[in-house]
Order: sequence, then structure tokens, then C-alpha cells
Amino acid sequence: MLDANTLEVICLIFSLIFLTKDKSRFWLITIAYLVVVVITELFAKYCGRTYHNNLWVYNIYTIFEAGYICYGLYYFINDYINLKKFLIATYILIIAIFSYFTFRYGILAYNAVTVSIMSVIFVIYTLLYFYLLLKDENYVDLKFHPAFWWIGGVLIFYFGGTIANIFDEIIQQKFLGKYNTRVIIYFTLNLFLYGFWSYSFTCRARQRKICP
Amino acid sequence: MQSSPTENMSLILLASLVFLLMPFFLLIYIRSYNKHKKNHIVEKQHMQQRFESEILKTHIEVQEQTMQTIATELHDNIGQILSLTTLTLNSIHIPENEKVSAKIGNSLSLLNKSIKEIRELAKILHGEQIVESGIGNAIDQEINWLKRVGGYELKINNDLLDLKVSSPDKDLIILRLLQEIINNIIKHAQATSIQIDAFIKNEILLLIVKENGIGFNYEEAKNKKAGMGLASIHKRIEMIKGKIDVNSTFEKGTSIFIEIPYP
Repeated sequence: MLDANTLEVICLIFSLIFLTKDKSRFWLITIAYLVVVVITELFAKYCGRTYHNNLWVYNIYTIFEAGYICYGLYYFINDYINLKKFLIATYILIIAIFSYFTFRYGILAYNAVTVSIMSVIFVIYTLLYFYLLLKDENYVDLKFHPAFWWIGGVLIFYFGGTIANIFDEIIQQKFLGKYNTRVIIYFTLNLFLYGFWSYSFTCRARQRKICP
Repeated sequence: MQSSPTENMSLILLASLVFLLMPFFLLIYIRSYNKHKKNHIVEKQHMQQRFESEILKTHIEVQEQTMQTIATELHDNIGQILSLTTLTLNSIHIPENEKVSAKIGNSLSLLNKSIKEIRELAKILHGEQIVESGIGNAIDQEINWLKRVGGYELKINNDLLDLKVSSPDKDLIILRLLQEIINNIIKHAQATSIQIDAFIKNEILLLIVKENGIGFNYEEAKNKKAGMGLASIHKRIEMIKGKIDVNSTFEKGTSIFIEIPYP
């Protein structure tokens, strides 16, 4: 059955096909990040089966996730304005919040607060990107603009996941006795995130072909 | 009153769906705005092109008017004065003084030559009048003038002499284009041979000028804003929806291919 892990593997395959020849550091880091995502997912499955708790795996993964998304936002927003210092500060803030809640509740409890705050911050940055894109006088064909699709995926994932983050404890219960609401929501969000990212990789390959 | 877990869950799912849809609508809005931005840019470019075309048209009209005035002045005023001078000189009768007679004879021949040159120049300047007899004849006259200038081995293939159709506005621009090209060859090319081919094929007038001069950097010359040069040739061609292709090689010469929808 198609699950979130399959989506991540498909996205990794897309990145290997379309990004391995890329010279840009960001796109190469993307491949490495997707490898981390797939390994995390597999390891979390293993831990879940063996130790009946894999939340600490996802908690550690949050550090990589925040780092990659911050770098991606810096990379794309940098076309319009330089937010290097702001994004470094944002990353430090996320790590500080993460550390505080980890020390307080332990690594075995899911760090939903950090994820919620991180989501809000990322949504603000993605909206800032779209604002700058609209304000810019130059026209870009968004249909083939990798930045638009990459950031679009991030916006859908983090904005769409807001409710799930807030009511994280409630959605862990079964819906109508059999459906896991958390799984449904995160599968849908992952579908859009990795779908948009995979498409952005094809756009990037196209862009590289046109302007090497 | 407490709501059941199923109701809570339904609400969370519904809210999640709304939160998922909102970014979608935002992305759709951004794409639609972007399309409008593209249309706006395209429209702005068209307006700029129309503006430039109008300016050029006015410029050409003014230039044409000025040349016609000069042509009329040369023909009707200076030409008449020179003719009168010829008549006056002819009326002087000094048979006994051979030296004076010879000098007057020389002066008369120079005056006649001047009158002839002025008439020819007036004809060339008065473009509208030339093209009245057809673009083929106009090109022929231009070539005749080039022959008189001398110094070039000419290969001419003018198939437009028996042309049944005409387009006065285009004819004048084509003539001025040819004049501009020939002037450029005389001024800069240092050529010894010029080949001109003019013919019509599938309602497209083709004008091909080849010379064996020193050649030039076409892209660099095209972008030079000063003077009328190549940029002006390009704009004139654009104005009549034609195409130009210039191939130039250093020390080997230049070939210019012009295609104009005709009539």
C-alpha cells in the first residue's frame, strides 16, 4: 500500500534522476536531505516495531528538517533580498525551543511545540517569498519555476499541518474506530510536499538544460 | 454539553482540509496574478514598439519632406539660375578673342554638367517621384547613379522592372533602404565589386546586395545608437514587416538579404 515512506522514496528517486548533475549546493544538499528523510523513516519503523517508541527518531530528525528548510528559504528568498542573518537566527531559535522542550519533557515525548512554532515561522517566510515574487517587476514563468514549486510545497505542508500540530494528541486516536487521523493528515500533506518537490526537481533540470 | 470524539475528529479533519485548501487557492491566485503581470509587460512592450515606430515614421516623413524641398529648390531655383547663366554666356559673341572664347566654352560645358548633375540629384532626392514609375525603375535609377559614380564592378539582376503591382509607401522605404546600403558601401566598405539582385517570389520582394569589401562586426554596428546606420535600416524594415539578414566576414565582404512582403 502507498504510504508516506513510499512518497519519500519516490521523491528521492526523482532527486537522483534530476539533481545529481546539478552544480548548485542547495540542490545537492536536497539529495542528501532526502536520503536522511528515507533513512529516518525506515529507522523509525524499525524502532516502532522493536522498542514501541520512535518519537525520539522524529525529534532528532526535526533538527535536520529545520536546517534544510531554513537553507532552502534562504536560497530562494536570496533572489530578492538577503535574509541570511534572519534565517540563521531563526534556526538558532528553533534549536533553542527544541532543546528547552527536550530537556523539560525528555527526548521520548514528541516535540509538537517546536514543530508548531517552526511551522508558523516557515509559513511566514514562504508568504514573504510570494510577496516578493509578486512585487518583482521581472516576469518568470511559474509553470517551470523550481523555486515556486519548492516553496509552494513547503507552504502547503506547514500551513496544512497547523491544525494537526495543535491537536497532535487528539488526532492520535482512531477515527470512526478504524482510521488513524494523524496518518491520513500527514499522508495527504506528504503527498503534496513531495509531489511539489519532485516537480520542482524536473523544473530545475529543465532550467539547467536551458541556461547551463 | 460535551461533544463526542468522532465529532471532534471530524472537526479537526475539516479544519485541516480548509487549512490545506487555503495555500492552494493562494498558489492559484499567485499564478493568475503572474499571468496578468505577463500580459501587462507584453502590452507595455507593444506600446513601446508602437511609439518607436510612430517616431521613426515621423522622422522618415520629415526627412522625405526636407529632401523634396531641397530637390525642388535645386531643380526649380538653382537649376534655373544655372540655365540662365548658360543662356547669358551663350549670348556673348567674341569671335576675335580665341582665349576668352575657349574659356567661355569651358565654363558652358561645366555649367551644363552641373545642370545635369543637379537634375539627377534632384531626381534621387525626390523619392516619391521616382517610385511613381515603379520600384523596379527606382532601383534602376539608383544603379545608374552608382554606375556614374564609377569605381565598382557591378553585377545587376533587377527583375522588378516589369512588375505589375506596386505599393507606394513600401516602394519609398525600399528605395531609401537601398540608398542607405549603397551609401554605406561607398563610405565604409572599400569594395571593388557590388552585386545587386532584386526579384519577387511568392509575394515576397527579395533584395540581395553583396560586396567584396573589408567586412565589419555586424552585432556591434547594429547596437550603435549614433547616426542613421544599421539601426535605422532595421527599424525601417520592421515598419514594413520585413526581415533582414546580414552576413559579414572580415576582409571578404558583406552580404545583405532583405525580405519584404509585397505588395
